[in-house]
Amino acid sequence: MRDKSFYRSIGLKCGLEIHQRLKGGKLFCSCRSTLSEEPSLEIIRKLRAVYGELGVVDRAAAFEHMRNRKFVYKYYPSESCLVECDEEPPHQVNKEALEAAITAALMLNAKVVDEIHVMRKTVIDGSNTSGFQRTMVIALDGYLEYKGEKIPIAQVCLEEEACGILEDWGDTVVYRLDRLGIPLVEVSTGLLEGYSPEEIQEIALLIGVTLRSTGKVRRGLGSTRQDLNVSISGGSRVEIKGVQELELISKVVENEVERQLSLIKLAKELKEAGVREEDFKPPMEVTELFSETKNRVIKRALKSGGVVFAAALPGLSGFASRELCPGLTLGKELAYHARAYGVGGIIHSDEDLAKLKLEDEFKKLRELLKAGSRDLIFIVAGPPDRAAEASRAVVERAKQLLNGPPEETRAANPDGTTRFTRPLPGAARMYPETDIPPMPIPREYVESIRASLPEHWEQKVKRFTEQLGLPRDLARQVVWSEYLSLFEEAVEKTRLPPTLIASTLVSTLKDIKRRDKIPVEQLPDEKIMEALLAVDGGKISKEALPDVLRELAKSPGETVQAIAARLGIKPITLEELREIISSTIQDNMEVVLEKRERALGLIMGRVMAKVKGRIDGKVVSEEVKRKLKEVLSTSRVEA
Amino acid sequence: MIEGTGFGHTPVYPRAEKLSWLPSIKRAVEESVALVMTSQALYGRTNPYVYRNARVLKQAGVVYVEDMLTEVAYVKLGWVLGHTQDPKEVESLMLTDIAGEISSRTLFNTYLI
Repeated sequence: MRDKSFYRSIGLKCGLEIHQRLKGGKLFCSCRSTLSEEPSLEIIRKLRAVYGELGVVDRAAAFEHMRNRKFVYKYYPSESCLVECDEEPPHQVNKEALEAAITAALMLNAKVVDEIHVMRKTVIDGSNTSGFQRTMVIALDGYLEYKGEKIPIAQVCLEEEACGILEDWGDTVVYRLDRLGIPLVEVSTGLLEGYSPEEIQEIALLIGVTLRSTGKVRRGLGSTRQDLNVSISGGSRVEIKGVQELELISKVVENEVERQLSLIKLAKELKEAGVREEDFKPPMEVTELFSETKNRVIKRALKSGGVVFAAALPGLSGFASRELCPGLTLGKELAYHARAYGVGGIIHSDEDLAKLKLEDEFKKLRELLKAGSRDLIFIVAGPPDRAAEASRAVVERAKQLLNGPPEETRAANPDGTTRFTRPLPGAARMYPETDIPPMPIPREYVESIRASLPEHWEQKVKRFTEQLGLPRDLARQVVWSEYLSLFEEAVEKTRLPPTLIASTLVSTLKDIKRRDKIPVEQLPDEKIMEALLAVDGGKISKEALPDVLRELAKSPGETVQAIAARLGIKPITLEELREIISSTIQDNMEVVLEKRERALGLIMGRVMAKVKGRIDGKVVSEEVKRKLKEVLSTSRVEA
Repeated sequence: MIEGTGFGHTPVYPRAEKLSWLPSIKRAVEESVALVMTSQALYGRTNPYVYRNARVLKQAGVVYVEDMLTEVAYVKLGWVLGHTQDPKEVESLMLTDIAGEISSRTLFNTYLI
């Protein structure tokens, strides 16, 4: 286990970018953003690279053009309009979202800018129909208190969400337009130095809680997303995108530190072994050599007009299976670079060539490439232009091994490892949005928001404990949970005990997810509220609530009433309960007369079996006791 | 009422004053004439921010009325002026959707037959 002093000693520096979706409609049009609809149409497009204002074609755009991919956009009638299709200019910035972003900025003690300038950030993967993402700086230079220190908050931005990706078949990508344009607040910290990965995760959590305490953010899968910048002394700045779960942050940081340390060590080893940059030769086409191959993957690639490229990587034989960090070998790392160019990956000489039926080919290849026994040989198969680019990318990446970890953008995998996506973009990819004029932000407006800022989360915990009577732990859990604003709404709208609401939101839902493996986080707030209101209105008992929530999570389209009816948990009246108790006692009269008061447990059990979940258990117990006493007193008289 | 081209444009070229509509528009605004911009295009929404000449027109006091049809805007302006002559109020009423004459969203299939 590596401790804090270790991370200090290697000079770990981190930067966090927290993205959080906001409630309300879209940022630049009047569509709603509920993500609840079925698509009604689809639009098919291709990207074509054109000369920019400086007279050059952007390299990344040219690359995307070469890939010649088809983009399919699913259109949702209530959740997308011509703005998402990029057929109409953006409307004015959504005032509600702007206010939410300013609120968040003020809670992070940041200074709101005098004038907002909307900017365009080039995005060429098709996830934005316009080819850019709109973003605007809202505030700068804030801080958050953490362990008595001030965590610098460099910047708070308001930006639009990109399209959601539905399918990626390599040459065709299917996107959903409904997600495009949902407002996001993006919080970027300053450089975090001298913290351990766990502490960095805690800081991310703290920012998340602060954002949620505004009451203006969305919850649920995908509503928060973290990007991390990680570097160590002797390493490089690496940006890791799309960490979906806050709990994964420390693991991602640990893995990245490990990866960079391994790469620094590897560079040293290669240099000591005398490997030089000029030893790396460009890849060559070797398709001919594989014309009789028995390997199925390559056979298939050649059949569809593909080619094979190969190159030798000097001094790297035996290194491809080395783990850079848990779950990531050097071979896999090199393959990611090939994959970025749209091929399946690479096959290299450290693999089990006999199993791959490639022994003969690789033997010949070693001669053809004039490679020595210490050199790693790899091949890439695929369409001609892609295979050429991909193999070149692998050689380039291998060459960089001599210099330690390069600056790059990586994406987080769900297991906490990361994969290469592209080199770090330059500052030039940001330019002004000319369709929206600059917006002056009057000081009185900012001050009016400051005057009615929501409570700090610590105050909320205090208030929930003192005024609502929640146990302190539960209060803290609610405040730190995604359900904070739903909790506050439910306390206001129902007469249910706050403890019941809180435990339903923070533990019952979690139990359902864990025990029944149901994606309960997809259940919208309105449906949970519907269930709570049903308990409040006596339509279902509180005992039935977990069952109802579980069924709701399975089919959120159903009403609480329908589910209650389906489960047969229609609540019963006191009269009905009394009848059931009487008949139960009647049916068990012998035992009752024999055991007298001690028959309570048995009767209670039998009655509960019939009425469970349909009426408050406390009422049942009282009624059973009362009735039993009554029966016993009359029976005594009779006896 | 001006039925402009495209997003709601008129010539405003600063150096060829003879061709520019801007001096006349400014004079009209100074004399408290309400100026409302729609588009000659059959479909779509006016927008005073994409091109510079429209920004100049808006700054001069022309009211851009979203996707209202010219004929509707003409009748509405008559109705509005029957209630108020105050330029701020005229603008605010012209931009308030009273009877479905302004739509906040243009759907992809709005113009499909």
